[in-house]
Amino acid sequence: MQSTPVQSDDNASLAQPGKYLLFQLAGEKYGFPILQVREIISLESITRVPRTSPCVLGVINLRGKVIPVMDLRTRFGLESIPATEETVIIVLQCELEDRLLTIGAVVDDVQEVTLLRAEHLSAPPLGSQREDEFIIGIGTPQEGQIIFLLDVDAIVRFDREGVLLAAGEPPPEPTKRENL
Amino acid sequence: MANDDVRQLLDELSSQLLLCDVQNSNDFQGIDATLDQMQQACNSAEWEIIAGAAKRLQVSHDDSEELAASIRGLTLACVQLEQHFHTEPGTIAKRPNHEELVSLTSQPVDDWGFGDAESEEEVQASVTPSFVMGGTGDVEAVQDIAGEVRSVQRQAEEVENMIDFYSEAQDAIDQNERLLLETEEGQLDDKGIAALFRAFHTIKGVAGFVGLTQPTKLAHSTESLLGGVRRGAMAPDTAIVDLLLESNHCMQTLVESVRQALEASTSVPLDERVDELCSRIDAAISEDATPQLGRDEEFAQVEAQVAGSETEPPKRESSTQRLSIRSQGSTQIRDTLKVDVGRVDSLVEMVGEMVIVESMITGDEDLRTLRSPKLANNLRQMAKITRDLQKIALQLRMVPVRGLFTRTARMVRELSRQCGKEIRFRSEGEGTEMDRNMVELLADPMVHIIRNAADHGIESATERTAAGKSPIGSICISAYHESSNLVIEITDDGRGLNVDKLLSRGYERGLITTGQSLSESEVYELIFAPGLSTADSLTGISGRGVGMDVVRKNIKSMRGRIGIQSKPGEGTTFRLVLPLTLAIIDGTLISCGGETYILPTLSIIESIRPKPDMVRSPGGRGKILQLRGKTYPLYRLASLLEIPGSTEPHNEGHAIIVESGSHSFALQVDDVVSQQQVVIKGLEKQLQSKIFSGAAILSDGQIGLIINIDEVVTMAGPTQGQYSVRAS
Repeated sequence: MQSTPVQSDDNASLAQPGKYLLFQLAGEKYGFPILQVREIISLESITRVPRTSPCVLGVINLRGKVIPVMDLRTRFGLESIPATEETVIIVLQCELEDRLLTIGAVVDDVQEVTLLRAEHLSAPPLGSQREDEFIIGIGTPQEGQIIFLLDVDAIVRFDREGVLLAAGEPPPEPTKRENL
Repeated sequence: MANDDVRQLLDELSSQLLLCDVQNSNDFQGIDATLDQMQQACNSAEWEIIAGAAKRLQVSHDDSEELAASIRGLTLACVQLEQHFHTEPGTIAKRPNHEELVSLTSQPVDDWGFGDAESEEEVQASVTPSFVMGGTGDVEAVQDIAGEVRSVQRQAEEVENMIDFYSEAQDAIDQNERLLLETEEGQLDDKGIAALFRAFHTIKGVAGFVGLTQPTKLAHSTESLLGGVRRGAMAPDTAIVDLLLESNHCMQTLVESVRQALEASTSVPLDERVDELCSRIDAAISEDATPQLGRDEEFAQVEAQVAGSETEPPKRESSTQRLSIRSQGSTQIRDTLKVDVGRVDSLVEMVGEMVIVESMITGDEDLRTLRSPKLANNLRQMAKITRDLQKIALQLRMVPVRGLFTRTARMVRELSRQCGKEIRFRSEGEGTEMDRNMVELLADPMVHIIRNAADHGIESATERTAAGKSPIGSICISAYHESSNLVIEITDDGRGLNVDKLLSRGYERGLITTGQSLSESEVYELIFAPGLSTADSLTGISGRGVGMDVVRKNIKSMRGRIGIQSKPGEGTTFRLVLPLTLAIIDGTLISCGGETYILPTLSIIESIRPKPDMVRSPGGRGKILQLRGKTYPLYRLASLLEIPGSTEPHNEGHAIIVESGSHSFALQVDDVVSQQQVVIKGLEKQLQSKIFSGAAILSDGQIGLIINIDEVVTMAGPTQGQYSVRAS
């Protein structure tokens, strides 16, 4: 499927046609490419990790693996809200600096998996709002429905100090893991 | 001058040396010819060394014993130099330094010491005073005499070297087999040829040094063949690949026979096919070789002579190769399995998880209410199996410290010669096991500590005699397990650390200030400071003040501790306390602000409940804890971790006195919960907010973060130093 109806930018990884997991955040609909979603788990107890980025809620024990969890609201610069019954963690998996990174993202509500064809996709709007920097496309499967498609890599990119990088900043140089 | 040529010449020379017959002057003509070429090829320092050794070679033509020694020295020098040239451009070449090479070529036969890591196999093998001869007949006499003088220990060493040869060669053969079979379908590319070349080269080197003629010869021929292919003299067609495969199979048979011989404690039998195969390979080379490869032809001549001499009826022990292992009982080579470290690691990790889940199940309240004896029995059974399984899983990565100690022994021998001091080496507890990953990390610290001990610690013989000590110095290392730690002690009986000198050097470098009083151990700590050395002059061995810094860094990275005890005139002891494995630590669980954190038990000195009058707050900023006449800076963990909502405590809770390098300080926590072994999980780099070195899953399934003590010191920053520990 080659017919992305958006202007080709050099390195811009634009949204590709395929299946997306749709979820809700502060009233808007977003989508993660289904290939990068590992599972959806209910919000369980999160161990706080002091002195990290504010959007990192802490770590959870995912069947023996310690994975970080971030609050997507905080990450997008939205106001964080207390968890509801609908609040879930989407466990994402992506390759970052040649390593497989598993990370949880807390969202308000998951909805469905939807197939977005090439004709449903359009380029992201140009904007200066923070959340825009993570948006790599817009899906409109039906008239009037707008889904912001997210770039997982940009969201999980952190710098060396544990602070999240804004999108567009160069990725951190690979560093050796200390102590371990 | 192209490195490639020098390398080839070196290779050639070492092969000739390996295969030369002491009593055959023709062989020496070949060697001389190569040496001549070499002189033209390189005019540098390397040549001087080679030439120096070669001169000795010519001088000692008459004395076979001495000649053999020179030959081996020269061969070693060649191998080391070659290794240097072998390094691909762009990678850092670890170049053997001049002294090392000179010493290699001049020292007596059984005294080759510590070499570069990469040539270690060769150096290790070289401990045995055996040398390879072309023929099996007439030279046997010399060798047998040598064999008889060999001590039992020597024999044991030889057996060990043979075992090393076996596993090394086996690896190389397997690798070759894979490579060759793959290339049968495709084309043998430069990379493949280079890999094969290296593999055969390794076999040749190792086999040569343990005294196995046939593998050496076969590997050499094959190597020449590959060399030709590499130079483009012949195409790697199917015939060549077949030949290579055949050679590899033949090598496999040879190696297998070595194993059988070892197990049965017999001599290694000769395989008739080898000569035939070698001549076929040589034929293939001369067929295809272009005239410019004069060296190879020359070598082929030497080869032919060697082959010729072999057809003569050997005088005795005709069917055996020179290898006489007369050790008691048979040596069993256990089958080993090479497994990807990652798999072992994940196995260990999963077993760790299982242990946690197991304790969750056995401790389950609901299950208890069932009061079923059958269930209780099964649970007990499960607990036991889980425990056993954990033990086995952890053992997978454990190796005895013997290898490390052997290396150290060689180094002491070498250093003893370099420093001109007689030093006796003793080791205890070689069977003590430790995590394989840690052996690598320990190698460097050991080198530095031993160098320091030999160079600075141990006095010269005259000084020692004057001080009423035995003129022979001694260095002793011992390893043992203590609670769940591994302890390695390195003791010398030298002059001890010079406290005054350390203090003045520390002062010069601004590490301490005047009027500051330090405890004895703190003074000793100064030697770990980068750039600090008490040596008055630099020697080739130590004195730059770099080494001990490395020691501390490596030990720290293993979550270990290092302590020093020293008495003037009596000696110094370095005591390394290390965790048994890197996968698990002994953790002390503490609670702070409602969360549970883990402190590595190894860094905890003690834990107390301070009385109000023990805590002082001079000048209103920072607190200090007074305990038995010592003062420690007191940090509140809750504040350091910026735990919200935690109020300023009254002097309740616990103060845990911890140690990080030269600093000791007290951490104020709410409570000490328990101690348990925890499986360390790495934190995603994203989270590694330095203060935590990892995380562990606790028995209730919750996560405990492991606090990095060293980082706490850094974080506590400003007050540090102001209240550094003083003896009162």
